[in-house]
Amino acid sequence: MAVCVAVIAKENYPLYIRSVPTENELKFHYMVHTSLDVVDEKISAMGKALVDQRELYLGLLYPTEDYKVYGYVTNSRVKFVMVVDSSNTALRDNEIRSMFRKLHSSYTDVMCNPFYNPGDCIQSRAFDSMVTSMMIQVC
Amino acid sequence: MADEALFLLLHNEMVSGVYKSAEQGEVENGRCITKLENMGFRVGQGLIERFTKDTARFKDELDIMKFICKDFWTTVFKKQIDNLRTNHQGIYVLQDNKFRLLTQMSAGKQYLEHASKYLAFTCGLIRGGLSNLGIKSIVTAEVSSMPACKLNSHFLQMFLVIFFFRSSVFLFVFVFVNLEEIENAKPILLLSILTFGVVICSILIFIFNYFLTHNGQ
Repeated sequence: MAVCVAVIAKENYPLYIRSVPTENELKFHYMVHTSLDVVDEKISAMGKALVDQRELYLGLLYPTEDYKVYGYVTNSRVKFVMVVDSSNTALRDNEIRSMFRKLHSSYTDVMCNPFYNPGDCIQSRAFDSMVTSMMIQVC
Repeated sequence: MADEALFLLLHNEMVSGVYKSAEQGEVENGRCITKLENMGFRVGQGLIERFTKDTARFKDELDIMKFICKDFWTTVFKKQIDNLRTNHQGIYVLQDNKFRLLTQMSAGKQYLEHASKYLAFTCGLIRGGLSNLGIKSIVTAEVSSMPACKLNSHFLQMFLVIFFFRSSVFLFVFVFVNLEEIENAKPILLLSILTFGVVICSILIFIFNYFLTHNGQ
């Protein structure tokens, strides 16, 4: 289901980005880049919003013709962006949420790895295989 | 966090390990504190990432500080912070009346001079956590032995004074806090006198200029 998964640091540079049809990688990079504006908008709107709307999962950021882009921001302001094929209608909001949850806990494991320097690109094999499993699951 | 006794032992070994390696390499005291603080910084970053995984998004600074006092402190030290004070302008004072890393040596003032090395790691822990949540901060710790009750128990009291980067408030309070123990604060006293001097000089020059230009007219 997921066609592209990206992890973006607090300062808005990519920590990890991977897409499944590798020949069209640049398009996904653009897509993720564009989504950052929407993420920022949602976060700043959330500060004023009601107390119970302070969830980490941001929901659908924007749909395009072929894809849907979903976002998630951790408390440490690290952003996860996922691009999903919109032809796949079986995918519910809850499933996306649980996928993000999984991604987050995997990222936490990377963060707690003493050999990882915060702010570097993620090269962990465990994280990589987790993302792969998330991508294959759907296709 | 692991079992508390294990954490205490590990922490003690860490401190003495760092100081022993410094003895061989002949590094001065400040370097060890920095080293311990940096270790704490990295640990704090990792811990806060894990602890905030399932919590809602924080509203503001105060919300974050409350989280540090309650959840973070409970997980690491098995108790909450006893007192949190703030001036709502970026300075937070956290007070722990029975700080776990110091309770083993809390028999009066005998070990007061060694207390600072057992606080460096914790300072780093908080600084790392805050920086991961997007707040740049300075964390300092202060210990004053205080007879909390007149029985034979003397608790080492720990103050954590957190300065956020807001320059105007920063200098003021730093001077204010440190003047309480004047022997240790001579450089800061000098600095404050110097700044006052500069301020007064500039005011005088300003007034002088003002009069000169107005007399000219």
